[in-house]
Amino acid sequence: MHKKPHELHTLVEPQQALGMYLDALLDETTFAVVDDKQKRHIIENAALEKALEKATTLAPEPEIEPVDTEPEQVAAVPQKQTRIATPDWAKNRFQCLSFQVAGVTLAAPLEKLNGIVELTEGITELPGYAPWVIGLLPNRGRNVQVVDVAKIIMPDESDLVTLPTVERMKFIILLEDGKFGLATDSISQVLSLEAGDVRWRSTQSKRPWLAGTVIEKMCALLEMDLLCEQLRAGLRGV
Amino acid sequence: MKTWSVANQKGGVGKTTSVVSLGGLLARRGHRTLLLDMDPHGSMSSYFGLDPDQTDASLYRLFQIKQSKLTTPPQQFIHKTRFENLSLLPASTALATLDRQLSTSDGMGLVVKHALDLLSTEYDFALIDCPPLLGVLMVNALAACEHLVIPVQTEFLAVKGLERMMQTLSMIGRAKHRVPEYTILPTMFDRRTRASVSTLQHLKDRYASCLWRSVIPIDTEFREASRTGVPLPIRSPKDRGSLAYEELLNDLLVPTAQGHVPVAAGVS
Repeated sequence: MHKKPHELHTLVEPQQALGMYLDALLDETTFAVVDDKQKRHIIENAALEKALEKATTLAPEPEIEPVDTEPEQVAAVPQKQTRIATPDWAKNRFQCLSFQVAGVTLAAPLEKLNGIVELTEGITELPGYAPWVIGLLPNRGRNVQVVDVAKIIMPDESDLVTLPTVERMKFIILLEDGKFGLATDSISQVLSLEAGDVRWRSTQSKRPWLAGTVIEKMCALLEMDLLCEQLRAGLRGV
Repeated sequence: MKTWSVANQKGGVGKTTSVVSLGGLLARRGHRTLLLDMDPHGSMSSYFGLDPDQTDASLYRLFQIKQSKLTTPPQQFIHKTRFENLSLLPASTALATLDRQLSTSDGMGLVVKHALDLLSTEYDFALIDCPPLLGVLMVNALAACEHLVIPVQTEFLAVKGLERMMQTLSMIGRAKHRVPEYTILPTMFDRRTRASVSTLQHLKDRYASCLWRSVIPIDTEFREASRTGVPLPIRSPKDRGSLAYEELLNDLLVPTAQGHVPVAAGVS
């Protein structure tokens, strides 16, 4: 095999140049082995990925970025859960709130939400925190950590996230007893669903906080427990 | 799934016509067929009514996904044509920027091969229309295919293009990479012209071992088929151009006992 072009400082002989070019392009080692199980997984998730097409096709691999969380909170993070079957909250008919974030429609089970706050005043910025933490919103005597969900589910480079967060967000959806809040552009509607209305997704995927796709609405259904787990851990959806 | 690429480092020799005609025939025979347009000009995409300047779900996305390390399935970039069993992974003008964008990205010559691996149960055949120059797109097409068809217009300049293509294959072999089996396909043959006849003779003299045993005749019906966006074998199955591609397809599907496509050397 030939030296890689970026290791060279001068132009090489034509045959060597072509050899290096082909060696680099045909380098099998850059492809992870895709076994049959992985192939099936990819194919089964086609519909879900389509729902998030704009968000995902441009997305680079997210980087893990720690947030300034208290040490005992990080220690309390449980082991990653995995799920293939329907989650407990979807065993019977359940309701979801659908909302818009940077042009993408998401849905979250109502029972996992703690309220909606219309944003009428500014948010105290939190310098030094992860880029998806917008700031603190005082609410009912406590400070809510407001999260830009667009920056978690979509890359910073995505052309969808062109409008600054503060100009987009109109409502904060409260989670986890009011500890976290998701900044949203608009609230759409409450959906009444059954498990069969959703194409469920394994939580072993790269985005465990995506429970599945609401087939009829083609919107992504969030798994709030796992999203909150990741928020607490200060991760951006590994 | 069988994958065939159609390539030549010269434009206007009948690459797109060959892919569309073979694809139309395969689809008509009930084979699930996927056509891949890897030429940034997007002639084949336009043939089926897609504008390469406007098509968002295109082959370009496969490279974007690979670079972003995502697992987005290739299915979502495939367009159904109005013909049964015939689907298209269209080109985008942005394909022309890949060589510049990917100059240091290792493994980018295998993107199409790996995408086709994921589609192997959904299609019986994948046919790739290549751009007329050596670059990341052509390397992808060569790495992905089991058989390469090299159309050559039966005129002098086209033979020069063929020589460049053969040199490229030879260099790939010298760089110790796999070279697909290939068949040279004489196209636009007009027995009334001296240029066609002498060029075909030159091909027989020089490339007999890999030259297809017959020719694709010049036929204005190909142009008409292109204008209407209907592959000639579907539009006019009995047309002489259709029949010639039918003969080629039969040879590609049923190779000789030696495992090769019947060539000129084997015909008296």
